[in-house]
Amino acid sequence: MSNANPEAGRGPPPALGAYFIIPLLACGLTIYYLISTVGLIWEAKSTGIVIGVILLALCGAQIIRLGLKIARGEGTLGLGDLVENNLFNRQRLALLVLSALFIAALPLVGTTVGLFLVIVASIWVMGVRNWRVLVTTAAVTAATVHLLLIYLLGSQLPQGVFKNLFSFGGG
Amino acid sequence: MEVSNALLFEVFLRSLGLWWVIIPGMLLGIIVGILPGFSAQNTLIILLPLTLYLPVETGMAFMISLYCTTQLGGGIPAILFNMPGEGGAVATTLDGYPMTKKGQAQQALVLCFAASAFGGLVTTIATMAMLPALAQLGLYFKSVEMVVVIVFGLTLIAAIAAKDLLNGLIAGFAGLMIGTIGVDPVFGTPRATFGMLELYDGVPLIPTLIGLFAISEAFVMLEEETIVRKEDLDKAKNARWADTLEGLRMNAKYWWQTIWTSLIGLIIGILPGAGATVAAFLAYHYSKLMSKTPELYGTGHPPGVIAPESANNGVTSGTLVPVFALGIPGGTTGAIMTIVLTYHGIVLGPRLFIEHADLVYAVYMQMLVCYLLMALMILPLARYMSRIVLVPTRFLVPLILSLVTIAAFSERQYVFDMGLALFFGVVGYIARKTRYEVTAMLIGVLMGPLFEQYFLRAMRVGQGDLTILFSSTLANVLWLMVVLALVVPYWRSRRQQGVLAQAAQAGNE
Repeated sequence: MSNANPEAGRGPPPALGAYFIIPLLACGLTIYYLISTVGLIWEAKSTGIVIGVILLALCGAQIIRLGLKIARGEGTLGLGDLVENNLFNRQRLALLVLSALFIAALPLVGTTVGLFLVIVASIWVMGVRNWRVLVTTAAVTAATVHLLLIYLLGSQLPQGVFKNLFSFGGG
Repeated sequence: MEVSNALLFEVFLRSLGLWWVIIPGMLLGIIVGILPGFSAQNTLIILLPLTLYLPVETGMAFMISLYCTTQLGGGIPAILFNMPGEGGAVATTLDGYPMTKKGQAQQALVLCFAASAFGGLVTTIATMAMLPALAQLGLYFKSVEMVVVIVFGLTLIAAIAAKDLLNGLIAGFAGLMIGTIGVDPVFGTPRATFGMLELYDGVPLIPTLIGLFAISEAFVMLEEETIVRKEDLDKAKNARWADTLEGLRMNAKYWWQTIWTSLIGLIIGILPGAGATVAAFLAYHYSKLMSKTPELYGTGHPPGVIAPESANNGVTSGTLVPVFALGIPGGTTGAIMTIVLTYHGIVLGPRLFIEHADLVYAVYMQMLVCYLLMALMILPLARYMSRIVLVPTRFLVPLILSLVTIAAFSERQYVFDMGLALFFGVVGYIARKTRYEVTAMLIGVLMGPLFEQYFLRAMRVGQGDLTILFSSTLANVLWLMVVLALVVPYWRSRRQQGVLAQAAQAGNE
C-alpha cells in the first residue's frame, strides 16, 4: 500500500487498517487449529501448538504496535488503496470474479472452451476492445493448452460437455 | 573400485551417442519446468511405460536429461514473471525478478542457465570422483541431523525478516502454521482441515506457490504497462547479444560461488527428503551471509540468482547417489529411477560398483553430456525469451491468471486446488500490499511439514527428550552453524552502523 506507509511522516495519517488483515487471519487459523486439536494426543499437535503460540504472540505484538500508532494519531483504521474505488481495483475484482466463475463452470464447459471464454472476458476487462485480437489470443492459448496439457501430457483436466468436440485431442 | 580413464572415455562417447533421447528429454524438461504444477516426478511417472520399454541406458538418459533441465526450466518464469515453475526456483525470484524489472531479464536468464549448467557439471564431476565416499554421507544424517538441516532453511525467514522483523516473522510463522494443516505424520489424525477431505494430505504446495507468487503478482502487475520499469524499458527493448555476454561475464566473476553453492546442492541432494527447495534457500542464505555486500541481495544482485540455480542443479547429481550406492531412493525421482533399474534386473547397492560400474558412470556421463548440451543450446535462447517481458500487461495478466489457475490442477488433479490457488492469490496480494513477505510465508509452508516430520521422528527416538537434538557431534556442529547464520548478519550490520556513525562523527569534526 504505497499511500499507507506507516513510516511516512508527512501528509495525512496513513491508513493502517489493512495491516491488521494478515495478523487477524493468522490468529483465526491458529485459534481454529488449537480448538480442532483439543482431543488429540500431545505428539500430534505439539508442533502446531508451539508454532501457534509464537504466532499469536507475534500477531499480538503487531496489533499493539499498530494500535498505539493509531492512538497517537500516526495512522487511521482505514483500509487505504486496498479497497479504494479506482480502475485497478475494479479490474482486480473483475478478474477475480471471472477466475472464480471459470473454476466453478469448469466441470460443465470444460477446460478448452472455459479457457477461451475467460481469456476473452479478462482481456476485455483489461481494456482491449479489438475483437480480432481478443478472439485470436484466446483461441491460440486455449488450443495450445489443449494440445500440450490434455493431448500430449495426458492431464485429466475437465473437458465438460464439449468433450466429444475435441475428441481428436485425447478426449 | 578402480575406474580407468579408458572406461570413462568409452562411456562418455556412448553417452554422446544418446543425443537423440537426451535432446527431446531436455526440451520436455524445460516445458515441464516452466509450467508450475508439472514436476519432473509426475512427468517421469507418466512416461514410465516408455522408459521401461527402452534399453536401460537409453531410458536412464531420457529420464536424467528431463530431470536436470526441469530445474533450469523452473527458473525461467521465476525470473521473468516472479512465478517459480518449481519449488527449487522460489529463491531465484528474490533477485531474478528485480533484475527483470531493471531491464536485465536477458542477463538474469543467462546467469540462471550458466549457473545451472556449470553447477550441474561441477557436481556431476565431483560425484563421479567421490561416488562411494559420498554414498556414506546419507547414513550420517538421521532424523536429528535432518531437524537441524531444516532449521537451517528456516533461518532464511529471519534473514528475509531483517527488513521488518515483526512483519517477516508473522509471515514466516503463518506459513509454518499453514504447513501444520492436514493429518499428522505419526498418527494420521486430521488437524485444522476445515472438514475438507482435500486438505487431509496437508495444504498442497503447488496451488499455494501459484497463489502466493503468480496470482498475487499478476494482481500487482496490472498497475503497470509492462513488467519492466518505464525508465528501464529502452534498455530492455534494445537487448543484444552483448547482454548475453555480460551475463556470462557476471557468471565468470562469481565462478567460485557457483562451485560452492552447487556443492551445497549436491550434499542436500544426497540427504533423504530435503530436495531442491531446501538446497536453493540454503545456498541463497549462505551466499548472502558470505557476501561483502549483503545489502544488495534482493535488489537484483547476480549472486542471488547464481546461488539458488547452481544449488538446485547440484541436487540432481546428489539424488542418485543413495540410489546407486545403497539402493535407497531419497525421493520420488530416485524411486522412479530405482523402478526402472530394478525392472532391468540391476541389483542396486554396493555390489553395483563391481557388477555394473560402467552403468553407474554412464548415467553420470549422460548427466555431463546433458549439461554440456544445455549450455550450448539454451544460452542463446536467453535473448529471445527475455522479450516476453515487453508484452503489455493487459495481455500478460489475463493469460497468466488463467494459465496458472489451470496449472494448480496439475499436481493432484483436483478442481479444489484451483480455488485454493485463487484464495492464496488474494492472501498473497494483501500480504504484498501490506509488506508481509510472501517468500517467508512460502518457506514456512514448504519446510513446516518437513520439520514436523523429522522433529516427531527424533522425539520418538529420544522418547520425548528434547536433548536428543544435541546428542550427536554432527548435529551440534550444524547447530553451531545455525547460530552463526543468525548472529553474523546481526553482528555485521551493527559493525557497519558503527563504522557509519564513526565516519559521520569524523565528518562533523
